[in-house]
Amino acid sequence: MENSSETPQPITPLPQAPQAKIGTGRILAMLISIVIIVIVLVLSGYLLFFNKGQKTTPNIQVYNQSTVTPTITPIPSTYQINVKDTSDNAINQDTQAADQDLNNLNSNLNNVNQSFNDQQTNLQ
Amino acid sequence: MQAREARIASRAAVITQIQANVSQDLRSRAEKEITRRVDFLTQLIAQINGVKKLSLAEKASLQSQIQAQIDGLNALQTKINADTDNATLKTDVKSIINNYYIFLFFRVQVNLLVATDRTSTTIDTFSQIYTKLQTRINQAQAAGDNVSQLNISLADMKAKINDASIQTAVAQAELTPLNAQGYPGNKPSLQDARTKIQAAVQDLKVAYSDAVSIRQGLKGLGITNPGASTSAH
Repeated sequence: MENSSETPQPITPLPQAPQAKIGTGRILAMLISIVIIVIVLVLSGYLLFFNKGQKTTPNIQVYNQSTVTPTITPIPSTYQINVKDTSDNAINQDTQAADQDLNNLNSNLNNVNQSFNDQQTNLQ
Repeated sequence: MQAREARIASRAAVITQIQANVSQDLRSRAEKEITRRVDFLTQLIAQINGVKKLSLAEKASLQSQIQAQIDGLNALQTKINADTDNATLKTDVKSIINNYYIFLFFRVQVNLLVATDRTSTTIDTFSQIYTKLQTRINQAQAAGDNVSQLNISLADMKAKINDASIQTAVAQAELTPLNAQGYPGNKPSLQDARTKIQAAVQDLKVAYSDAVSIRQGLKGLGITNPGASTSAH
């Protein structure tokens, strides 16, 4: 009885990629990756430095600004009452102007008090 | 012997240096005070221009007195800068101290004049508002509305405006004849003028509250925007 299924088949070895070719490709890929990383790092550094330079410019301007003490002066009242207009709207505006006048008067009284409390520089 | 002379010379040099430092310090403080006064006085001259209740002659007289002070201070500054010995420098600096009362008088007087003037202008504004409110109340009364509460507020407003007017007139009369030579003897008059202006401002604040209250009261009545409004005056 012939048992053909048990006959050993010759095993054909799988073709192997040449070792030298694979090594060169990897090295090439690694080199390209390194070059890309270096370029990215250089660009990042440049951008970082450039942005820093831009941010410091306004600070320099601030330091160069001289400090000026503001002078507080009362707002002049330019509102003119129309004596003939007795409408609600006109009376509203008139009372608002009067309120502004009172605020200015407070400022004037404050100036008066400051003048009474004036102190001269010590010259002794 | 030579060592002794050297010590004396060294000591003299130190004393000279100390005196120079003291002079420089005094000169710099004098300059600071002169600049401060000139700045204030210059501001006062500008403020006088804005005072409505002073005549042109009164303004010119006051401004010329203040300008004389500015000129004097500037001349003094030039002299102090040129002083070479300490004794003269000290005398010049002392004159700044002695003239302080003149500066102080002008500063107080002009600020009071400005405040008095603004109070007077504000009284005019309130008087016009009063007239308008009176017109509106009369119209409401004619239309049959109950205006008794509004009339009470209006009467109070009028009383406050009148009192403010009296206080301001008295303050003005007190301030006008005063002069720098009379200071500090005339300080009580300046202080009294301030008290009167403060009282006038207080009156006007109450008058303002009355006006706002009347305005609100009128809104609750039938007549809101009367046709006869434009012929009130």
